[in-house]
Amino acid sequence: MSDKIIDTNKEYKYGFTTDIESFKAPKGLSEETIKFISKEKKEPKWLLDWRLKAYKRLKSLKEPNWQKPKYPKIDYQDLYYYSAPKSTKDKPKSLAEVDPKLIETYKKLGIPLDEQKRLSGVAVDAVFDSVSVATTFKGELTKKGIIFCSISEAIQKHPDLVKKYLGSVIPLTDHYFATLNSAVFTDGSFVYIPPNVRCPMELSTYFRINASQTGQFERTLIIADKGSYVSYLEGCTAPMRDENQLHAANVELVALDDAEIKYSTVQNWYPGDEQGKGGIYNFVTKRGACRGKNSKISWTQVETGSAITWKYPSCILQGDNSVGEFYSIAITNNYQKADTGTKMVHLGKNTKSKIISKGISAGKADNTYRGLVDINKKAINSRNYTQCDSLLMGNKCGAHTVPYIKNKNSSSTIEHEATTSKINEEQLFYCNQRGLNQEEAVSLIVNGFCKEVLQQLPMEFAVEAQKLVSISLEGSVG
Amino acid sequence: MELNFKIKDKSDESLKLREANLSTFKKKGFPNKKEEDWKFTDLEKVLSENFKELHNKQIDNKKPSIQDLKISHNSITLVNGKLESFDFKSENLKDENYFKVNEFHLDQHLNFANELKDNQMQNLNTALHEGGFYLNIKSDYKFKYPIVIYNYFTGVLKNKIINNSETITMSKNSDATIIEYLIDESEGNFFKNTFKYINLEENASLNYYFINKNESNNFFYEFSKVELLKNSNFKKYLFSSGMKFGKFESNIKLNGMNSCGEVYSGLFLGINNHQEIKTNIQHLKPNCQSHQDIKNVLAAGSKGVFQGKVFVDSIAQKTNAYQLSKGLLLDEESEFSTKPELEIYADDVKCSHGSTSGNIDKEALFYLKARGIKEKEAIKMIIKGFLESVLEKIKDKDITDILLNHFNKHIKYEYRSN
Repeated sequence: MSDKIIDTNKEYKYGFTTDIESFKAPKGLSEETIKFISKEKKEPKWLLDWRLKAYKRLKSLKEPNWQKPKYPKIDYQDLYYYSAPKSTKDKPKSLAEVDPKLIETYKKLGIPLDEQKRLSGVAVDAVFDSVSVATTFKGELTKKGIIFCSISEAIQKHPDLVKKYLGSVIPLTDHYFATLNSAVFTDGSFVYIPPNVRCPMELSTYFRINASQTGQFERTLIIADKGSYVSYLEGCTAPMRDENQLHAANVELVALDDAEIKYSTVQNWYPGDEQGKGGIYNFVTKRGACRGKNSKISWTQVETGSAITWKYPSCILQGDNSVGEFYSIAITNNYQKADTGTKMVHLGKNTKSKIISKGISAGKADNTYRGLVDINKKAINSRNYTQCDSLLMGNKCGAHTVPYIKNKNSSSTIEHEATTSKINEEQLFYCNQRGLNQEEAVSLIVNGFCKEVLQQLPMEFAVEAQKLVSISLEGSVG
Repeated sequence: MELNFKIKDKSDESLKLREANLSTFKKKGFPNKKEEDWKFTDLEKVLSENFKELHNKQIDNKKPSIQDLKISHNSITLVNGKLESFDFKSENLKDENYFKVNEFHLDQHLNFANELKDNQMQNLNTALHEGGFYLNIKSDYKFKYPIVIYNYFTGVLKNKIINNSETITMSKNSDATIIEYLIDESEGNFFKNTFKYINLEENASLNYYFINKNESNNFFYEFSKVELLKNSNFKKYLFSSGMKFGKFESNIKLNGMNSCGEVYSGLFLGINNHQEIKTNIQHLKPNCQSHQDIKNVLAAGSKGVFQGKVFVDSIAQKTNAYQLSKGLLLDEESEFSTKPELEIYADDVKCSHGSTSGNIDKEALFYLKARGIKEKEAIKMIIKGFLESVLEKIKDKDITDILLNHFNKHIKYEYRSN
């Protein structure tokens, strides 16, 4: 394979901005901003106190700096912390009342919101910037007792549930970005699955960052009560923009006895242009707690976008026999940087975890797997298996593996393996010989390399993800 | 913990340097777990739990009782970190210029130390430097017999801190085997902080073994900086079972084409032992190879740590790097922590690492028991097999015998079945 790089990188498909007047909070981070957000969202006092407590804590925290991808200093006083499309001030009662421009935006993104909703069978809670504007499929879910709404709505309608679980997995005091989120989060999704209910459809939210200079602080909370099951999809696209945008979301999952949560992400935010200018900073805290016996949390992620992806979806295996899984594909091209992985903390007996991570690095990108497997003294008979493979394309990119492995228990077993290599030339030759051009061949081989992870995705996502894998690497091989 | 560090030096210039380094060290203090390199080994905590005071007073060296290894060898003798004598008679040299051994001085030390000036242990070492040795092996000389470095500790060393350094230069086409043999007859606890600088020129080859004769209740920190040029070859074997506390860092720079760096270790850690092996192998030129194989058996509340890093520069194509770390945990009190790290910037490479930890394989145990071997005996066999696998590549039979002997002495096969 020659080192030549063909410069035919496909332009970012979802690069556009919608002209909607935004309603913004005053610029900068302060108690006033937080009070403003809280007032605007008509929040109860306990939540405002909670936010202020987080803000107080934030002042004593420092931004972490141990990560591999470095970024220019973020001026937190120069950001808007709340922005809602103005047209939602008087909430629409049906889809027909929704701003047609919004609907158009979703259509461009391919979100099945209007007539597409019945065809796809996906209930969508679409988040445009910070406020949920339309929620669908409510009826069917309500029949089963499932609560699927925006977190602001949940705060109004189900305060007990929110109060009980909010911040129980990611505490206020956790780390800089998580605490920042706790102080200023604007909206996100809330899911509650009652005992012994199997959610009949895949729940899904599309996120979009739109208004200029708005850090988006989503907060998602998913609770699977005893014996329930839910599969949740999260997909992201963002419009093209030159300035770096910060995204610091918090996602909390709670699985009680015998419950299972499957959380899938396809992240395709604006990665910046070929020169590394612009792009989203994706600093997300995702954590799931397997509270109950026999519970299971499974994270699947396909990370192809963002200038910097910095996240570690984690599982805290508290309940006996609980299971944590993490499947990840991280693709970085041009100047993209990813530092991602997982944490598996084994606390209960007979807990199991499995980590499959595939990193692909091309152009001048840097891709890091960073993970922790920690088996505590009381977690007897626990088991972990970790596999992280990296694929490098060209000698200007980097692939790194930084696993932390702690075993404090002699009846537990940990296995970890990692490999780094380039695309097998024999496989390439074989494909070329059968009439596939270089790009098609690479795409085929990479899809094969990622297969173990791709097959974990629900049907709705699998096809899109496969295309994404190919699109992300276009122009990186010569 | 009280630090009683007094500095003196004959020359004003050196004195200034020592003082500057001491104040840098005092600003930073002993490393603790907040520092990434010390994440699993909190030196500050370990020292303050075990020492009320640390001082660097001069102690009159007591003559050690000579304990020879029963093989033909050359020797360099160190007592409490300082060069005492050397003997190269077995080699039957016609020309004494084949090698040079010297007392190690602060100014020589600085030639090497500059690169590590951000390391507070190096600051401390420079400030309180007491000596060591300097060995230069001349071009084209291939040693017939191994060089044994007898590293004696004698006398009352209570609360003493020993700071020394060692340099080994292997000139072109030279070849040597070095066995560092640690014999601890001292009384009272001490802490030793050693910096080693090993340079291998083109086509040179060095096998370096570390073993300790007896159990030691003392605290050892060692940092080795190894640089390899074209076609050179460095192998390090670490067998420090029976040591209360040890952290052995090896920074290996593969700075010439076709050079090869290897690190092997087989450790059995007993009652409250804490040992860490840390490696950082840097592939800086194409076609280099590295191999690491670390085996730890952990019992009775011991803690084993392995932090291994492989770095591959973007020009270091055709790199072949392999790393394996395995922990065998025998009881609930013990811990095995690893951080096998890869940082790779070249694409045409083969880099992999594996890490496992767990208990004795029940099937293997059953297999042996089914053949009439008693459980205790069977466990012994499994542990032995596990550790001795690191010796497989050693060709020299004399050395293999010494190491097997070492294993037999330090490996306790007591095992509490779950």
